[in-house]
Amino acid sequence: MFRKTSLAARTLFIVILVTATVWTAFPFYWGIITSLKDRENVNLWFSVGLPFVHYTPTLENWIGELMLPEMQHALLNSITAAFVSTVFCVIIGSLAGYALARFRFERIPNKDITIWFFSLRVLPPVAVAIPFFIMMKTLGLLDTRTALVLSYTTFNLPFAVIIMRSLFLELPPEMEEAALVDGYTRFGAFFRVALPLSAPALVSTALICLAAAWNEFLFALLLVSKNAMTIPVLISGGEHSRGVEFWMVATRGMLAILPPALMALLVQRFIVRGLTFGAVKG
Amino acid sequence: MATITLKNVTKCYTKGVPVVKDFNLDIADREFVVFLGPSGCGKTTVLRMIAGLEDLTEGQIHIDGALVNEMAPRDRDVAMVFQNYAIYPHLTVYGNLAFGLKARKVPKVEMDQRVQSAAKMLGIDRYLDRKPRYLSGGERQRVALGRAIVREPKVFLMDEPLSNLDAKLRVHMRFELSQLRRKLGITTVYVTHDQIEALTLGDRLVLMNAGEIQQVADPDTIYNRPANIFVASFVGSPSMNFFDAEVVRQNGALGLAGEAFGLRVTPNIRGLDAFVGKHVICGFRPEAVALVDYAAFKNRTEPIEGRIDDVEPVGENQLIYVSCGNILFVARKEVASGVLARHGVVGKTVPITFDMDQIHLFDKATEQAIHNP
Repeated sequence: MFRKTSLAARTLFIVILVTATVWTAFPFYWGIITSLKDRENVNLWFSVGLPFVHYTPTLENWIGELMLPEMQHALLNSITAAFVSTVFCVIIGSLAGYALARFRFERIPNKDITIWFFSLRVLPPVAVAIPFFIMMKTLGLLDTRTALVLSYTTFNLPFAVIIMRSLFLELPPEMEEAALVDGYTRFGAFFRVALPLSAPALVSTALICLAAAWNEFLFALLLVSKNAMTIPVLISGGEHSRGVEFWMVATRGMLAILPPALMALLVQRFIVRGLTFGAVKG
Repeated sequence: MATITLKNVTKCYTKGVPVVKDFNLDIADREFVVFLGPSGCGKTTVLRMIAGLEDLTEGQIHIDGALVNEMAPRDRDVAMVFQNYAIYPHLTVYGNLAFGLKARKVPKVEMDQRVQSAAKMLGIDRYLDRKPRYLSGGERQRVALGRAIVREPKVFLMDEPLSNLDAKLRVHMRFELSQLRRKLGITTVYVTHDQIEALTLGDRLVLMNAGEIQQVADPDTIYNRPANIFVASFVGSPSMNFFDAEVVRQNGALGLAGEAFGLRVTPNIRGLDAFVGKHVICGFRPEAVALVDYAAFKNRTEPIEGRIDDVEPVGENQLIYVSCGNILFVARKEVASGVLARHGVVGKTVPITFDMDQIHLFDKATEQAIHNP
């Protein structure tokens, strides 16, 4: 494609690409190098100094953070809340999505139910934050992981339902019908035909729910305090009387990125397939 | 082995708008019945109701004497072949064939034996460990058929199984299907909109239009003695030639007075007396229309003038398009009787004649047949 473009166009193209790359990669770069600095070196070279060149990197912050009981606790809380709510979302979401894609509801049309799910998704969560707080308080669930799981499942489920519904709509129903005629129940056809065929999209849905739950801040801030504190809340509390401790914030930020990034790497071949599912008819 | 009985079967998706109306049919054991009709005529809906994939709005379906209206598809012991094959992409060919047997908890040894024998019968035994995406269209179609065969069901239901194949393969698979049905002898309901498939495969044809049965008969009767104008026009390619005429009595003899020409009716056509003064639709198949020079009809009509619009060569035949007034006739002429060169004859006025022994007459008001040869 370069052969026919002029030098000016090529230069512009490269400048845009480099700018975009630096723009997106810089926060990570800053996070990584800062997490490897000690207190004295933080502001060195306008805080973008290179390790080994401008200062000697250290793992002190990482070890310190990981040994910190409140960090360990927050990690465990985040992981539990995110994974459990994701499992719920995927199970309930795929069943509900399947029902919406395959059956015709008589009283309320399928389209209206879908739009209702969608409306839950676009609703600003803050609108229900206070009622949710009161509900959790009444149920005695404040500052528990259960409260996190319940709220994350509530807010991510519509998303799972909508994705899974559109996925099942794209699967030709004849395959499940063939299974019905071949001797399976509706559940048999769902588990043996529809679900295996939708595995890639299911993984994508799970990852999106996982990321949303992992990053959730508002409800975590509102519903939990000490016992069930999650990583985002912990990071935001990183300001001490001595001012912002950048090296600590950077380490915590990087720690927060690690689990979802590892998950994404692990299942990346599914993600690409899941996101492009149905783009080309097989 | 089973019989199928459909009694007053009606299906509405929207209340009061039936897509299948009062459908009645008895299918005998081992019979091969073909539902034929244009797209959207309800033939697939009837098939799906027999399979249990659609509920009936009204009526009853019996398989082997047992009422199956409320029976789940899996309990009906039918096997279905779908138009788009519907084979499972995540399973191998073996997995696809064994899928239904697993559901029925067939012992492993027997399952293996049945899969192998069906695969061999269809010539797909080499591909058993392949995934369907590595198979050609014809091979996928065989897998779909195989999945039905291994089940050894009471009834086969086939929904346009050959329509996704290219023309050559379709002819080949049609032949294989025909062989297979002779070998297996299982009651089969076959849905198609392809009249050649219907005429070649079916013991009996059920011609449908707009959710209603138009005629149920063997292929020969359907072609030669159509019950109404729809059947006459749907079956046969090119379609039957039709024209409107009034039945008149002249000097004691009956005649057909068309817009541009008249025909004398020979005495062998009975039952026309009642239609004197009324309009009828006359039909001639292309083989019953000929240029006078080439006509070898025993009982030909008096010639009428027409203009040749086109000549189409189709193998051993030529199709000659002749317009008489604003009616366009298609005549089929054998090449053996001499080739008409298109550039020499198009635009020329020629006399044409009809074979009175092959006239079809329909009541214009009811569209039902009055006379078939």
